[in-house]
Amino acid sequence: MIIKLLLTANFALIWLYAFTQRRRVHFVTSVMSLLAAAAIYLVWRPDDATELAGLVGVGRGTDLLLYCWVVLSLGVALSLHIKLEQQNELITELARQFALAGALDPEAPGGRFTLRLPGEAPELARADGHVQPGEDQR
Amino acid sequence: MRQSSEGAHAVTDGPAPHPGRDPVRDPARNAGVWIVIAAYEEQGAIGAVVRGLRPDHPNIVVVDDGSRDATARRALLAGATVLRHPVNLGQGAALQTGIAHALAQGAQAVATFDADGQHDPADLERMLGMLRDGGLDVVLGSRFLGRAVGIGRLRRLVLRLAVLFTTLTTGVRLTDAHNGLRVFSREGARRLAIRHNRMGHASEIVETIGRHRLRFAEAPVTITYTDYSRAKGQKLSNAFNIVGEIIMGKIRK
Repeated sequence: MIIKLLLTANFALIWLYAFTQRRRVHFVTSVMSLLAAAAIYLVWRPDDATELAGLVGVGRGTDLLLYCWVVLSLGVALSLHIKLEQQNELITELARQFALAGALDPEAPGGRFTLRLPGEAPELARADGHVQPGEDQR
Repeated sequence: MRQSSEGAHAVTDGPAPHPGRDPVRDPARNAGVWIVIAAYEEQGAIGAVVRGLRPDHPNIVVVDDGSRDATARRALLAGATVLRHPVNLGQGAALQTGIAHALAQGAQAVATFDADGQHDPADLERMLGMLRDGGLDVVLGSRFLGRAVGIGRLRRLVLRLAVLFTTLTTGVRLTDAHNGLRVFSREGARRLAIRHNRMGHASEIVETIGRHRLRFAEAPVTITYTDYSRAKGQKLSNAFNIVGEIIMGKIRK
């Protein structure tokens, strides 16, 4: 009994998550919602699961549930990947704007502003042609 | 090559360059041309690469892709405009940043050129000539029409496979699908919107050519593999990553 309750809670949370994300990635969340709801139903009516399993050519109800769970997980992974890529695009755009705004011109000593990375010495700001003694010229 | 005072110069390098004061031989001829060089941890070669281009090109922009070494400083001292990414994003992203800057500065032609010394400035001049004379949008360098000095057999094979893959996915027939030496007209450059930050950008550029039916040609170029560039260069196994990136990019569309 406790397993059924835990599983139900688990799938209910998944269904809830899918529901909250429905606007962002429509297709995947719809599929997830459907599968989560079906999973909850089958947890409480395992004989239906076995019957359904027999219909689709799978041995046991629990096996069917397992397969559905795998598909669901792959869908989530794909969705996450897409979101990660979108986030990367945002970061790229930000970094690009930084780079473009801080362009360092060899003819304009001092430049507009210089981008100093953490722990870096400020020599880069000196675009005035002065080479420090010992500085490599390669 | 240590300098004891300003004005002293290394025997092999010629006169010590001062930023912005390197003599450009004929500023009018290439006034509208911008060269974009993406560089990451390239302090060993970037100075020489920029100095090799400076005499003929007043407009060079080096995009430092978040290097922690002296790449940006040396590029600046050699006479290039320098843009710095605050974090490392990849060559595709760096090129796109440089191209955006060049276009904003009014470039009439934009060239991409490698930072590691594998490319020959003479090839670039020839390609610019082809672009102008042929009224083209894009000229792509091809080492298989030209020469690949010191290429290994495995690398050659992988590049040939890349050509096949690119032909199948973009519909554009090339002899070299992964060459960093390219020139674009302003129109061609404006069509570029590189979204693949890392090495998938090469295929993305070819795909853009196919999709917009840009007028293009391939030019024979010489790629010189040195121990330096081979050590820094792409691992061949990266080809799998690139293919994966491109496929995922298509799924995302």
